[in-house]
Amino acid sequence: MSHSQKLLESDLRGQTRVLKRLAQGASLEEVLHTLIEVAEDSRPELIASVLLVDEETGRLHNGASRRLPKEYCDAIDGTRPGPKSGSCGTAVYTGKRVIVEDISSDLLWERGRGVALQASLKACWSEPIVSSKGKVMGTFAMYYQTPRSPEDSELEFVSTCASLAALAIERVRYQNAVELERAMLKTIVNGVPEALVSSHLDRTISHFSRSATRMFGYEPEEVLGKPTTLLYANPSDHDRLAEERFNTRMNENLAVIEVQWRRKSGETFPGEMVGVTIRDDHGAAIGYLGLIRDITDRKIAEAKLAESQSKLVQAERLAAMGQMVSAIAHESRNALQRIQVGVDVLEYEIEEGSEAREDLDRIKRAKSDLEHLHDELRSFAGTIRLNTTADNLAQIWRQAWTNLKVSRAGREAELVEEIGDADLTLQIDAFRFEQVFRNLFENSLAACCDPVRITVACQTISRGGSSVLSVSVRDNGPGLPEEIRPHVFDAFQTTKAKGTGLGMAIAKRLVEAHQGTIEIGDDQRDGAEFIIKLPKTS
Amino acid sequence: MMTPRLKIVIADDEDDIRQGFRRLLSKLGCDVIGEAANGRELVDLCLNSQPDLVITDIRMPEMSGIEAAKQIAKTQAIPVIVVSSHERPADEDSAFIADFLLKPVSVPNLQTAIEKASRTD
Repeated sequence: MSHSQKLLESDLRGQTRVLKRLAQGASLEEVLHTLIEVAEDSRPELIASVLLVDEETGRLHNGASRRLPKEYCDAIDGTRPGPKSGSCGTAVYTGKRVIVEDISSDLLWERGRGVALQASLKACWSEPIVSSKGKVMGTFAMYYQTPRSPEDSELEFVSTCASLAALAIERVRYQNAVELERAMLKTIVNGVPEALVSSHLDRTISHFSRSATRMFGYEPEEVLGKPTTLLYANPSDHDRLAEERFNTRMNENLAVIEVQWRRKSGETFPGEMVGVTIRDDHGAAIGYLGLIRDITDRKIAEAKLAESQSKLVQAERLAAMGQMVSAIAHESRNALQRIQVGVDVLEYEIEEGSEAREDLDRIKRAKSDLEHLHDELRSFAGTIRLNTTADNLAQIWRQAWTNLKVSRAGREAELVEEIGDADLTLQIDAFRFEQVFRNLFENSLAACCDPVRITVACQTISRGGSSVLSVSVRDNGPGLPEEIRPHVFDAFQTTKAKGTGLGMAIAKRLVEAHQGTIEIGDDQRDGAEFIIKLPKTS
Repeated sequence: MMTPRLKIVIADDEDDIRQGFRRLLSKLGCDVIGEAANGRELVDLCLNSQPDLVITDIRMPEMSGIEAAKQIAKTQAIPVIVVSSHERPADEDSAFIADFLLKPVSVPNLQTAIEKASRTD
């Protein structure tokens, strides 16, 4: 085998070595170093060097070298390319190969000559390393310690080495860029609060983001490869979306879809999703992507808002009704007064026991009913101005009981008091509060069969450092039906055939006007029970 | 019974109510010696007729029953019973008022108020 044949063979072997290193994923530094090694090993007189162009500054820096003296490398580091910047600086500047046969006399080396000669470098051939897009990325240089000109084969060699270097640089830089992009994408994907779930075309899960894990409770390895059905609360939604969103015929549609989802725990939650088809650079569908947002909190907030709005509407309606009722009640009083005074006069003129007197009594009763209705409406809707004095609560309920004498006529009804040592003196509007007891007693009388037994039990309790008088009013009737209990204090709620349904609403209003509370007792063993709590002010 | 018969002046802007009270009060043994349809008429009537007692509505045109009671109190010591379809008058006005009754007024309540007011006279 001739010398040139042997050289060709070793060159080919060397190139293969470089390509292998590249394929193994070695770093740029390692690949370039291999390139230098291969070149220098095949040509003992050669001193090889790779310089790289800094992409930001445009200056040249050492890429790889083995036999080039360190002092020389340091001296030329940072060289700015120019029309007369030695072999490499000029090659980068012009983009063309520069052959300097004798550094000691060449014009291009005017500035770097001293350093080169000191390092015993006499000849330097430099080939620009050019990217596939035509951009100069560096140089591959061959130095010799004697002045000399290249042979054709040597020119071919330097060109091949530069090409290999270009391949390595581009490949590694591309890989770095891809990795950077991947890292960035990963950061973005993990930072997005929405769950990102991608699937293959058969809708088996191919990616499950960190937010998806947080939202659904599955670790990626639990769901990867599994059908996306397991994320849906209703399988029909999964099928519906195959029609509406997740099929390759669909054009891009970024409209938000609301879907009920299922967590690993089995809990379901409302979520908004944007669903798209993932396509490659050529437009071919390769999978689907869903971006899911948990809207549980928003739904709760929306429901609360709707509730408070409806409450507001109701409050406004009640306020308007209150004004209307007050106006009606007032106007009616004058009319009632006219009836009353007319009836009163007639009572003196019409003989008792006559038919006309019975007619008059009927008018009188109708007037009383009307008056009672007005009183209730006014208590319910009108303004309450309390006129409080120090009073004994027992006196008030006894008065209420006495005033119900007519209602109790013919009934067997008993009021039992369990006062114990509770102090019943309170700052209270006796007139108003009597109505509270009257309404409670009236309800009990209406609900209970004889013998009626109503128990008023009092005790002083301590709440948050202050003293509260707790009064239980309990009867021996059938108790409050379960379905009535939540509505007992609502207006116009009645189980009685007669009545406005305002009694308990008024009682609540009056108790609350006294800074107190009234609620249904928990204890159902003995008829209905109401518990009034009133603050004791010292 | 109330002897001698009490002389009463009544005021209300509703004719029917005045008529009714006039008839009722006479049944109760009182003499209605004058009627007024507003506060101003009431004040004049009291100056001229010197009644033992006034029964008046509150809300009336020109002058309210309360304002009339204040005017009357400046020159005469006549007890004024206020009958109204409104809430109780303000506390600062109570000094000029012998009693307050909410419409519609029942006979026993009216009798009690008259007796009480004429006693304190």
